[in-house]
Amino acid sequence: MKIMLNPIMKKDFKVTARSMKMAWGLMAYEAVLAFIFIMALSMLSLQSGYSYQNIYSELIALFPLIGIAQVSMAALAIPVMTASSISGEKERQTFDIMLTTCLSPMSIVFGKVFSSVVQIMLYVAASIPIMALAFVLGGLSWWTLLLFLIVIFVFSTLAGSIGVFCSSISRKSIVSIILAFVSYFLVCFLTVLPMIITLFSTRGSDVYDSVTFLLLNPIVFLEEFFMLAMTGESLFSGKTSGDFGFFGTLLAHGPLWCIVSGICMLGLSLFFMFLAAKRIDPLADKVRKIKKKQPIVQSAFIPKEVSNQNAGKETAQLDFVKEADGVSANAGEMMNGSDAGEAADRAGSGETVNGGEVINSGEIVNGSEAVNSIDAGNEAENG
Amino acid sequence: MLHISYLYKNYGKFQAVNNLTLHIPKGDLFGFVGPNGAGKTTTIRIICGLLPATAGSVHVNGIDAFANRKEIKRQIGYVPDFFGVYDNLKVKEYLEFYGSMYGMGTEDILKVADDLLELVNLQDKKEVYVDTLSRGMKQRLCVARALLHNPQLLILDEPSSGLDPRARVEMKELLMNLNSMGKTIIISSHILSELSEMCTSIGIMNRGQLVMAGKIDDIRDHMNADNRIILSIENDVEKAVRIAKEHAGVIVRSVRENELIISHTGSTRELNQIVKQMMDQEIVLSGFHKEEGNLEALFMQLTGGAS
Repeated sequence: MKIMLNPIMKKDFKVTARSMKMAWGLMAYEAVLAFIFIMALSMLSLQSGYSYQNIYSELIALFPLIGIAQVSMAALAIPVMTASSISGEKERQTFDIMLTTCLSPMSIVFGKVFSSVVQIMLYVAASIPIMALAFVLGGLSWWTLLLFLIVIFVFSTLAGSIGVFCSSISRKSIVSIILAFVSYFLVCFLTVLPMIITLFSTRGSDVYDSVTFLLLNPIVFLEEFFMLAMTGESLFSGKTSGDFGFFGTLLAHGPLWCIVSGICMLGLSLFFMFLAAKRIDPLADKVRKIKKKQPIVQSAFIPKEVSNQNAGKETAQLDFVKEADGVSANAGEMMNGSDAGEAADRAGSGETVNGGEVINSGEIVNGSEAVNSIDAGNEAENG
Repeated sequence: MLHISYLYKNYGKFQAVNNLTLHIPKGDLFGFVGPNGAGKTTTIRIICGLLPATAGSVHVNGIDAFANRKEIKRQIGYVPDFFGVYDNLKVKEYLEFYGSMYGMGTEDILKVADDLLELVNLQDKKEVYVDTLSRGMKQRLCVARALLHNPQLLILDEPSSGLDPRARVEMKELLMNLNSMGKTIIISSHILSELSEMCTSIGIMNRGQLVMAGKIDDIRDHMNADNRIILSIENDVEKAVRIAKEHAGVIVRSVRENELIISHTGSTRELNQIVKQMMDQEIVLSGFHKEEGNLEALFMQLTGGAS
């Protein structure tokens, strides 16, 4: 079966892969990770006084350290990559052409988000050798690594969709990047805010009623994942009971929280993508506008020369047509099919009709007769 | 092919397009001309679905452009006035990318791309990076890109802007060639001479309104309809005006220091009599000729002298 990749995703990836930016970015990413890993290993060695038994028990901490470092770098890189995705197309003057193709605005947004997600996943995949050191030393299982990839995918998708949404708002890439960071901070902050308010305003136990929004918080999502991966317990473990209903149950069972939170974040990503698609769609509210304005326009065309009777049969010759023999074919043109019906409707509603074609006649511009439409003999030839 | 009915576009209180009604038949090479800010690009952007209209309707091949956008996109190929290209993308890949955005398969695209590159004379640039091409080549590539999905209507917004004379000629030849293949083409420009050489019809826009539209030959006939005669007079223009006004069927159009322009609807014999009378009354005539239809003059007149 032939899989049709999103063209934008394919093109973006091809263009990025050829640029030196990608090569340098990848090198810097891996260098930072390697540096963190080596520094952490050295610190552990110094702390344990070169006692290997102690080192092994501490080495498990390397995985969340590297994981958090990766997520932090992704959190910094994704808004920069995605926030210039649409505004960059606008700056490059390629966006209009893109909109005239058959690709829907949603597909454009989708392509933009996932081209950056794929890039980040490539960076993460390239860091597997560094993470594999944690395997060698016994700190990580394959299953945890796979879950980590899923977690970073969800996280990148959310960050990417926020970035693309911000990119759709602004025409300047730099403004989009700033907006993306601010929006990302707002998402993190606003989803914690209800819980903070509850903590300070009511009894402590009510805090579990305000955790709903935490499901959308990427920091809590990551924290829960790493807590579970490292200790097998979640942040709220042992503090919840069945009395707290659905969210209490979620909290009590960390993995379930992570799954629901991941789904919610993907939902939030879709919401941002939808908003971005609406933003870039030039005709998003076109139909509503036309319906609203139509009566005003029709009332502006009250005929002077053309009688409403004999609608559809009446022909109104332009002064220009009368004068110039070359275009007199206009008046004699036959109406047929829907054109005739449409013309009849228009003539009925008070518009000037010329052989099935609507013409605005008799405007005066700088003393000259203004002619708005001439469709001559070849219209008849072309049928 | 293209029906625009009562099209309006307002930006706040400013009317960018005001009551535009126009029909362009199939196979026409239509030139949209007007001064900067006349509303040409706005109209084109509305037709291409890049801008919502405030009111009105646009039909391409009988399809409502606002209701069936996907279908309309298949009917139209658009070349904007300014466009960019992607770095690190070869000519072949550039066409492949846009072809895939029209849902075409890679094999189909490559097959069509070869023909199109030959048509726009870029067959030897297939493996060249797009950003290394000259402005004229990029423009021709953009035309090839717009033709990938075989649209019925090709719309070019200021296709010659920024091109050197040679590239302009090449672009003109390409468009005339495409028109001879049966493509309906709309070109916008603010340079009338450029359009009058290649277009079969033109529409003149000014301040959002279409002030004149028609076949170029018809417009020329229209301009010649009042039979203007230019008389170059060396001594007494006022006396010449008096003599001209004595004759029925003569309208004095303009009087300058040494020039009198009259419209004459009578016979050639009557005109001869006017001239003879002037000479008998010792008016020195140094020139006498019929004014030919001048599109530039008409354009200036219709657009209020704006250029």
